[in-house]
Amino acid sequence: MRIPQSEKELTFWERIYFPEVFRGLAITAKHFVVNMIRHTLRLLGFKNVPKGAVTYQYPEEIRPISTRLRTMHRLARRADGSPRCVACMMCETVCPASCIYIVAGEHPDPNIEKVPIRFDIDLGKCIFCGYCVEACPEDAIRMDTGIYNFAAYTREGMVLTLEELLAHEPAPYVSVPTQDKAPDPGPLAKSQPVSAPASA
Amino acid sequence: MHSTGYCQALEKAAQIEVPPRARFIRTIILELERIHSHLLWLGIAGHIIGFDTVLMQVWRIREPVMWLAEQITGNRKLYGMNIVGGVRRDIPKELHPKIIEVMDKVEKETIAVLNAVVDDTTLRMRLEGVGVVPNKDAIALAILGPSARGSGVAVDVRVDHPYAAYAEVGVNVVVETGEDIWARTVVRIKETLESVRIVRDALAMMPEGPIEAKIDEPIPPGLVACSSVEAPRGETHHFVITSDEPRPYRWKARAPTFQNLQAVPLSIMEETIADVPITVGSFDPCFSCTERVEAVDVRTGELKVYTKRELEQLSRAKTKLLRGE
Ligand code: SF4
Ligand code: SF4
Repeated sequence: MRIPQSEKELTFWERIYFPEVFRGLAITAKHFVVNMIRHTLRLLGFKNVPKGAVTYQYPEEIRPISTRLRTMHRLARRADGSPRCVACMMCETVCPASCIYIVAGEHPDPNIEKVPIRFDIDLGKCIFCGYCVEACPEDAIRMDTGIYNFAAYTREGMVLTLEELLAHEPAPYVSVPTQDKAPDPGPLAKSQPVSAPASA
Repeated sequence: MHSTGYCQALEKAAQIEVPPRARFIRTIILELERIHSHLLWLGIAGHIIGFDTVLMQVWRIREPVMWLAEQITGNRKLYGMNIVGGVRRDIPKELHPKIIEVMDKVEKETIAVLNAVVDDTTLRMRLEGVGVVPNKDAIALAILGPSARGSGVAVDVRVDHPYAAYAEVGVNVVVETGEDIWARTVVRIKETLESVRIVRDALAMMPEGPIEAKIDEPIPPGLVACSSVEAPRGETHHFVITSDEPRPYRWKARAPTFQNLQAVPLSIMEETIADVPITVGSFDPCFSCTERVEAVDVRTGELKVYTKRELEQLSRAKTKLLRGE
């Protein structure tokens, strides 16, 4: 059901067509020249010049990410390098994507009840909600590695194992300050009382 | 947005009072989501009708909003911001200037887009008088959100049943009477500007205080509640019955696309095939919200309910088959 159009009346200059064509070309040329100059100046080391393009030249140029960004998981370590995780299964229970698999084992130290002997996170299923981080009573699992560019050719390749999780280091964040979480005390710090990230 | 709906339903059921600051933060997040959703739609609409400049420019405007969401919530999408009784993260003071800056930029550029789009004869010729949903049909089919507001129906949960902090900040409902795709487009662009205003006002009015309610007791079983949230596409309803487990006994979500798609047959009637994509697209359909499947065994006539594991295995088997393994 098409109803008749009310066409806008064109002015004389618009009707002779050529001035409009050149106006359009001039706009394109202006963007080209300005961006070209900016790109060249930045290439020569003038970092204060505005970026020539709004896009980032990934992977050569990495966009600064927020400190709150939830990135690949890691497991915090104790002073002796063993996982801080006590295999309490809280994260496995809370995970809405059921992508955490934990097998618990005995810890040699009698003060520590258990330790995971297997801890797999299937990143192919993970939805990066961060609930596991919040649920953990030991503050053992964290999502602050700053790694977000992971891909694999197989499904199995997307599974993070205990060793990989323990090997990850926190990202050296330098961007925006937030109150999200106290700075990571590092593997040497004793496990502190749980604090919900929201109230930290 | 869905998490707000679910949390609100539970809060209503268990009569949990949400602290004011949390309500304002929820409002800001909901409006940021609306801004980026409407801009996303505008870009896609441009793409569908072959006007890719709109796509490129509008998505450029949208990107800072996503980065802002990343800074506030920790993700560009799927914010994970809500918990029952409040929100998970605060919006710290340091982020306020950043939010204002992004909002100013989005507003300026959206106005530029609005002016450019309004003056564009090609766009108007493609969109005016196409995909018409007359006002009375819009009411009869109970279509929702910007699709209804483009047909002159002023429905908006934010005004009709205020939640979060909408009673305090107020909402000017954008209504257009064109009844066609053009009207829906204009509604969405103007709503983006209105959302910018709401974010600014909410930020200015945001009180200090806690961001989550203290919940000491487990939520008792057998409570029933329903809550509505104005999603970018229209109103979303969440219905919850609590149980004695830490999960609800029953939970049902009704996404707006289910309702909006009812208007598609009417609006594509007597249209050319070339106009069908943009007509369907003009309702901003989310098909994954709408798909419903019932598995019936044809031999026995029995209904089968698949578990998550079975579905996973089925889809993996299908992938294997397609790859010829
Ligand atoms: S981020 Fe969410 S989905 Fe991913 S492992 Fe943690 S709880 Fe599971
Ligand atoms: S919640 Fe924390 S301590 Fe418990 S199993 Fe998960 S990572 Fe380990």
